[in-house]
Amino acid sequence: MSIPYDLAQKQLLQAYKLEGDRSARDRLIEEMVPLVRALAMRYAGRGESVEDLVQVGSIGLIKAINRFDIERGVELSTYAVPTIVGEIRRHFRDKAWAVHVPRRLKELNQKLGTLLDDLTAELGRSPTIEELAGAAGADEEEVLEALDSSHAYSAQSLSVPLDKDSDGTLGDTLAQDEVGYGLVDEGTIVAVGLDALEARERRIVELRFFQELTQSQIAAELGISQMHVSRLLRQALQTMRGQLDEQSEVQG
Amino acid sequence: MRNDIVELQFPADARYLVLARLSLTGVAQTATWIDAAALTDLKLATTEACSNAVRHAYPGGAGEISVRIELTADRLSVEVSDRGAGFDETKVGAWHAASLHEQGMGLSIIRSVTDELQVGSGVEGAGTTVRFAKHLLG
Repeated sequence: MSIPYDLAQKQLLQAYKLEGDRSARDRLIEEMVPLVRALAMRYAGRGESVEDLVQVGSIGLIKAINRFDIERGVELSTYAVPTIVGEIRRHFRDKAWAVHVPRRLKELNQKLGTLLDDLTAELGRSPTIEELAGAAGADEEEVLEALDSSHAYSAQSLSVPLDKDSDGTLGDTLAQDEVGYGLVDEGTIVAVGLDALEARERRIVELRFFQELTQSQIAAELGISQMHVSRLLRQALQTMRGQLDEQSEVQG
Repeated sequence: MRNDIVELQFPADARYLVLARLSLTGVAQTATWIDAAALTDLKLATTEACSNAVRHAYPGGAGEISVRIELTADRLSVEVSDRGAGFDETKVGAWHAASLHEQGMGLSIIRSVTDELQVGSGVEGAGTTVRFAKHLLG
């Protein structure tokens, strides 16, 4: 059963790699889309459609086919899985998916509060997790996490003081009245800004504003001085604001 | 040096996988360096490892899966063990259109999203243990 499949795959690979037959490559891609789909399904339910993820994953598949060395003696599928998964993960990273998680959980938590009351009235008893999930359009695991999320993530926003000695907040630093950020939700502001940062600056901003560590705690965590943290944080906020200004100009 | 261990044991039944995932969330919340992306990777890896055990460890019978989560200052590791049929080395790595759920694909996925992966014999030499981890500087 699997032997003819492997043979066909090998022949297609050889036709493409040795003879440059592009139609063989296209057929190979077609044959391997089920693998891409199987991987994309594992990332379903995170705000992206499976079809979009299959598209993204297919880019990884094509890269894998292009780079694959037929002399290497491994299956193309084995070689392709990390490349496809890598492409899907990069897609979520580029969208700053992780940054939105605390906010989404918080919103789900609020929604569940209302649904709990409504469903209890409607059913004459407490709803099950399954019923709540159905009503909220979320999966059961998300519901369980959200119900418990008052402590789950410190979904922090822009009202945390920048320093314990100052009155300014992240919101003050980022948003200025004249650019009308009121229309944009806070999560987007931070997400957009974070994208522009280098890894270490980003880490510091996350620790400071999402996990609410003090500058000294961050310094201890990263093994650098508090002065250094302060300088990097200021630099990061400037970069973020620059990024936001650019965006607001583009949006007019 | 920090060394927190959480262990759970549940029937080899896909309905219990959510327990392992929620436990991971609980442990990850105690460490500032594990962000949502890293947690998602670990949950995916844990789901793959447990799914392999559910599907392959106890053909035609009931059994248990153990999950051991260990958090140190610079790494979060997960060990998924069963006492079942053992790992079929000949199946490692291959994926076929006809059988999307090969063990090898699960391992490939785990390797793709973690910093470390080991596969060995399970508890007391029977079954399979899959161990993987995320590192602070991964």
